[in-house]
Amino acid sequence: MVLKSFLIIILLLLFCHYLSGQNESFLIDDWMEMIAEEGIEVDWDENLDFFIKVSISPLNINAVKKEELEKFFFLSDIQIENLLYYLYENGSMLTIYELQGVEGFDDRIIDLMKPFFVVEPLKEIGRYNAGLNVISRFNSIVQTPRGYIKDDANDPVFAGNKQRFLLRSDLEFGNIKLGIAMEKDPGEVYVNNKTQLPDFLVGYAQYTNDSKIQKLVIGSYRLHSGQGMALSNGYSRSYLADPSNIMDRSKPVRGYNGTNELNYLNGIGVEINLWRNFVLTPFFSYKKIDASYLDSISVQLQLTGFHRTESEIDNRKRVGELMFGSIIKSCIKQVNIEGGFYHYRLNNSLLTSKKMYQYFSYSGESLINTWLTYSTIVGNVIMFGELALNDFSNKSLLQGFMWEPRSSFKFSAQMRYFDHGFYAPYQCVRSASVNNSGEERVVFGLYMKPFEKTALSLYHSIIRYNWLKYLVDKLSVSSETMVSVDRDLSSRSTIQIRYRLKQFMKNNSSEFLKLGVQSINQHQYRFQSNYNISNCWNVVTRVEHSIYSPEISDNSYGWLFYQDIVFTSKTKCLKTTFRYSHFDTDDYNSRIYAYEPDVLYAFSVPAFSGNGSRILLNISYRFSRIFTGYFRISNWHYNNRSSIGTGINEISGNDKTELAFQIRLSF
Amino acid sequence: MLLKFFLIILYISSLTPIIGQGVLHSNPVSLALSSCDVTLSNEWSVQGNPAGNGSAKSTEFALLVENRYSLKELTTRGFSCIVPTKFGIINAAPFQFGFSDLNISRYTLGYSRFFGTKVLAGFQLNYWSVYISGSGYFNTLISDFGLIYSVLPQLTIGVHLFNPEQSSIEYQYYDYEIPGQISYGIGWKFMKSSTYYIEFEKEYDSSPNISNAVQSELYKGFIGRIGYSYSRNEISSGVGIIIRSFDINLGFLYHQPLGFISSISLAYNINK
Repeated sequence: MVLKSFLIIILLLLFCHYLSGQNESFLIDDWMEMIAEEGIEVDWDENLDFFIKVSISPLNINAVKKEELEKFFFLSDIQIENLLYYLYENGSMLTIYELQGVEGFDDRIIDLMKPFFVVEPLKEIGRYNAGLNVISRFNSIVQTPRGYIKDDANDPVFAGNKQRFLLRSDLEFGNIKLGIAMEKDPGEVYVNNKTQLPDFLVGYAQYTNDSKIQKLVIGSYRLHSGQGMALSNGYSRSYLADPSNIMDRSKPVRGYNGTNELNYLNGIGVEINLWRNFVLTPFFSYKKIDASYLDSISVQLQLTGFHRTESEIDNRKRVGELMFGSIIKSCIKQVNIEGGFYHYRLNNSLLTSKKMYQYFSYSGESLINTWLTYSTIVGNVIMFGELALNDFSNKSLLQGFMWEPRSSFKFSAQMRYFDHGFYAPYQCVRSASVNNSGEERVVFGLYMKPFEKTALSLYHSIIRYNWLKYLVDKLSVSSETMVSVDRDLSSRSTIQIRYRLKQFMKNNSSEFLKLGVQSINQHQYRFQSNYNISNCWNVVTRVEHSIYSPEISDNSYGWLFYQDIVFTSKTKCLKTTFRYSHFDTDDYNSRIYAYEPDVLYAFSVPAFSGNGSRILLNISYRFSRIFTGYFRISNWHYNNRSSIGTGINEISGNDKTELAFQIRLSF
Repeated sequence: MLLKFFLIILYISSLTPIIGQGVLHSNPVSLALSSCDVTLSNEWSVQGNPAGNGSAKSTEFALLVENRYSLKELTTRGFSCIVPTKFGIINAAPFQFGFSDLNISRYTLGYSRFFGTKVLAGFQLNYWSVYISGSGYFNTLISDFGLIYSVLPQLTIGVHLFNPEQSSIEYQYYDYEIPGQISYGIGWKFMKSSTYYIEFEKEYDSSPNISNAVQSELYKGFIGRIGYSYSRNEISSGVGIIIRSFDINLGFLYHQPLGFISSISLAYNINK
């Protein structure tokens, strides 16, 4: 399963922008929703902690390091180089608005940077303090789904109660960082009967230094190399509509105490500075993963991370997963080069069910993946690429460039190719299907400001599938086009008009034409306005319309309207978001996604389907420098349903209410 | 007589069943602007967007009569009163629609005010009473929220939620749904004396309606209005005349199969 927790950074940015009363969150909303449509799970990431820390203790722009700037996804490599060159040539800045004098920096980028940077004399280099952070969260649904109800004849299907509980803590002291997280999902028991430990428990110890051993992590950690085609536990930006985000940056080994139960490594990872720019990162990982036995030797992976029902509990941590390898990277003149390999082995043979569309899917118990990646800047052009080999035979290839002649014009293109049999267990490139194999994709992105206050973003992708895919019994082509116009009406108000078209193929569901494949057009129209009434009040209104248009059956239509009222106190201690949404869709095909504010570190992008309304109230209050409390309540109300959900998750009645409480202690 | 009966049945059955459009939007300004009234601030904001009352500077009274398709059974009568206080603006209005066998009354009480200099917000409670011959009275309470904000001196945005809690009227075996409605509109003053309105309006159980309209002060004290609804394919028009403290408005809408809807109102501003 591919995890793209990049969104957490986006979410944090949204959070910060609401706080600072900025209006640059349109693209961020879009990205969130696009990723949610892909069904990608998002969770905590080490970078999120970084962003939270720098939003509280901003970085001094005069003392910032290149590695720190690279964590800001909205900065391109050219902008980073220009900024560092400016500081080298002109010395320290006196005000953040001096950024306007740096080539490639416009008001939009400066506004995005403001929450995270300050300008101070060099001797007062601001660094985040050592300390302890503790997060505890509790979520629950008020109504009780069928799976939790005990009747006369049967016990409840779910072993545990309907609450979700999370406890996460970080301790930082000088060069040492420790982290731990434990989580219980709804339906799971708090303590596993076999291990007498929480259902999910991860932790790490991390040592960082500027000497030979730059970083050492023991415990759970994440890695991201190159464009992530062969190895990545992190997030990908390669599929975002903003052309400046078409390239991924490598991220070194970093400790992990998030809640995603699948996408991390467990063992030891080291970064060793061999000589000058040569950095070697050997790593070793072993952990048990969830799987079900198909026969005595073959297994099928269970990728939900849930251990609620009898069969899910039986499948918990059944198969050992071993992985070891190494990454070496260097920078020679203007060219960053990185290469690596790893060996991956399961205790049992992985078997994919051989339905026709899975004919080329990976089966086996071990593999070796190798890769070579590069990136370079030539004038105003960033070029990057990656070649990855699976068992020295199946290949995947990525090549892209970004041209940024000035900050008001960016153009990017990316091409990607996967052999039928290419497989990487930890991979971080966007795919329109679960499996990338047999996919060819070309993406173009354009960003321009034809007028001072008007920005135009254009995104177009074409994907050709060289084999059948799920629910498409034919070689097919799909495409996606998005055009977005953002206009600043004033310093406090912005509007966005967006159109998106997805064209793809799908099997007919009609009884009479069951064997046929039809083409489908999906249109989405959006109008949104943001208005910062004052430093305390902000209102956002969105109207969105979707049309799902199959070739041989009737169209279905969907509407979503929402109104946000956001209040932030002058001291920034209290932040309240109220949202009322009304939705009306003919069916699930015309559903509409919308990002919702949530408690810190949590993510919500619900799909609006059916006819009804949703009310959301999200409150955070900083009681003191140490203690912050969060509360969220949301309610779905459906007009034309007598029950919500299906199967064991079914709730009787037409209301569903969700609650969340969270506290954060920061010493 | 048969045609008259047919028209009444057709009207009542085709619009939000028991409530009738009459007490939702029945004023001549809204009618002339094809219901593009969510950004307006006038004596009939009680129907379009309660936030609009918040800009009132002095006490106002207004009366209205609206008739649909020249049938006296489909007549709406209403009265509106807006009183500024030092805490904000209080408004109250009764409306009554129908005839002896079907009678719908709406009584409103609202509060609105400015937040800062550019944002108006309003909240309103509506007591709804329906009388059906042979069945008796049905009553319920409905809420009404609105926001109007001036993004620019020439650009105003309005949002209005009517019945977000989706109240219905229950009586014995009957459950009459009151139409929840959400409206979003923009008013753009493209010339010194002319404003263009576009509005998205959606009842919870029906397709959305998109309307646009233009209001222009043709001469001092004489206002012309014209509107068109895309979804309903209706053209409307009207005029407004301001004579000292009095404000007279007329509105007309032509419905293709059924005929004309006409509305007239008279408003009096105490301190004008």
